[in-house]
Amino acid sequence: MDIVLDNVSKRFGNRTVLDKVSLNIEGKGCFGYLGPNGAGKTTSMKVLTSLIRPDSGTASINGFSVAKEPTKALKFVGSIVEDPEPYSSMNVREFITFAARIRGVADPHLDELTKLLDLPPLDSRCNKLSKGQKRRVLLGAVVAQDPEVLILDEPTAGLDPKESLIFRNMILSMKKERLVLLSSHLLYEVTQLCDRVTFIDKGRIVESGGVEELARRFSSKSIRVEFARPVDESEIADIQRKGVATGYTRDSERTYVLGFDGSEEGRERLVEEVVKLRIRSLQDAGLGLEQAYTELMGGKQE
Amino acid sequence: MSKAPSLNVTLLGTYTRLHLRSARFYVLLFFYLLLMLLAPALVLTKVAPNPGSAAALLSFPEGFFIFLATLGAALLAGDSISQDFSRQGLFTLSQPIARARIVAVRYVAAAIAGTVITVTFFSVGAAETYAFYGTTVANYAEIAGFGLLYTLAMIAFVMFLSAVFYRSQVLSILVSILTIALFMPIVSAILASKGIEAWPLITYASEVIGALYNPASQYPLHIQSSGAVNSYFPTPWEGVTIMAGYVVVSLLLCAALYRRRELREV
Repeated sequence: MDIVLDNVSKRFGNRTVLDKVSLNIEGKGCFGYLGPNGAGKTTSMKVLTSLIRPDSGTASINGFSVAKEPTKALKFVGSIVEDPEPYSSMNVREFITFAARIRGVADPHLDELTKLLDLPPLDSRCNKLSKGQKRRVLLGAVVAQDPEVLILDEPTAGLDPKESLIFRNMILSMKKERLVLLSSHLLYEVTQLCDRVTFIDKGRIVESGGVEELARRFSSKSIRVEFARPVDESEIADIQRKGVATGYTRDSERTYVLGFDGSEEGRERLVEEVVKLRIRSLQDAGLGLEQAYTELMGGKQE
Repeated sequence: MSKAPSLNVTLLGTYTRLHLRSARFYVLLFFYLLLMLLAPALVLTKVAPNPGSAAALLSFPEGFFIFLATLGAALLAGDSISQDFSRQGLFTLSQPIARARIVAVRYVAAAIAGTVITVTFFSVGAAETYAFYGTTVANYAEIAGFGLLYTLAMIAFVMFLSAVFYRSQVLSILVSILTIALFMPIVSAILASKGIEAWPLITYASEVIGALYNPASQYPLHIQSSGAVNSYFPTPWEGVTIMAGYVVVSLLLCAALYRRRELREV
């Protein structure tokens, strides 16, 4: 199982939406695709699902070029990209059965899917369903197609907590045997579901790696200090003025998170300074993926 | 374990079923039947006198058939491509189905619906003339055949227009109606005034149907001279060729355009 984007570029008019994007994802598991609105996530996913053609570069799935052999490439893929709708003139049963049969699956196991995804009544017309119900029907259709590769573009956006949980549980279950490419704005969701992650901004890939590795790397640029006594903010500002701390945030009168340049010496100098103020405990700040996202996207939080 | 039906069977079965249970299909069927049954109903209720012949009884529905067939094609196929450039298309176009296959299957499905309506229309016409006069119009099978071919050609042409005006379903239906009901007759009239045969226009080919309805007169000559300007009338074979040409060329162009379309924003 693999998804490959090789130097893919796409322009909409004068705007470059994807700028030589390269991705190579192999094997089972869940792969997170993160970035602010307009970064190029959905466009990348549309290229991978043959909804748009790249201006240059190639997208392929399991070795088949999406542009040249779309039916072969898409045979492996189940996708929910942007905000699709099930066919309005079909009922739930008909739509899921249709989705399964176009992939050669005779029985979509509707009873099982209904229990698993809390599907609306199977005789309900799709145009009468709420947004969350439509999403679950689409997920049901994708699951019924039994694809090797799932491409999910912010699948829980706009869903209530119960519906989001259904989606997350389904992704956790499917990633054991399949390759899932997931874009999301919800960093806790990505942390919970994904094994690896790629950050994209302004149409360019800015960072890739394992979720834990990235979280560790970026959180190691700040420490959380609990002081033995209430500390005035001016005392912390003094440390920053000396150039030892790159910044700080105040959690409480005794607890602060202080940033440093990421080097080992920088960390040692910072620790020497805070120890002078008498500390109770000190640890690497656990901001993880959120910290990585904030730093890579230049402070853009959605 | 049961086997899933083939992709073609699944697609054709699904799209045909959607046509045959749509409100548009039943509205069209109603208007076709209304048109065909209106004259006999007026005769039976003695509102109008008996016209005296099968051809006269059918002259009223015949006069409206081309317009109704055009409207029918626009409603059956006017959004057959543009429907995919909406949120539903995000599902359809990301499936492993060649777009040419989608065009072919959707055409056949719309053609089946159009055939059901057209055959019903002409069958009712035959039944009522037999009931009234014990016979029907001399060329009735030919007329019905041309009527069906015209419907099939219009469905293909409207699908092509739907691929051209793909951004809006309403627009693609409206443009289809305007092109055939307004634009083509105007171009046809301009060409006629200049003595040019309007063979590229399907509205020209459709004149065969009207000519066949009138068994009393001779089939019009292909070229009729009046002064310096020639006027043209399609021969039946020319009509068949133009209509069949519309089916083939429209579907090829439709598939070519559909393949190139991107779903950037919905």
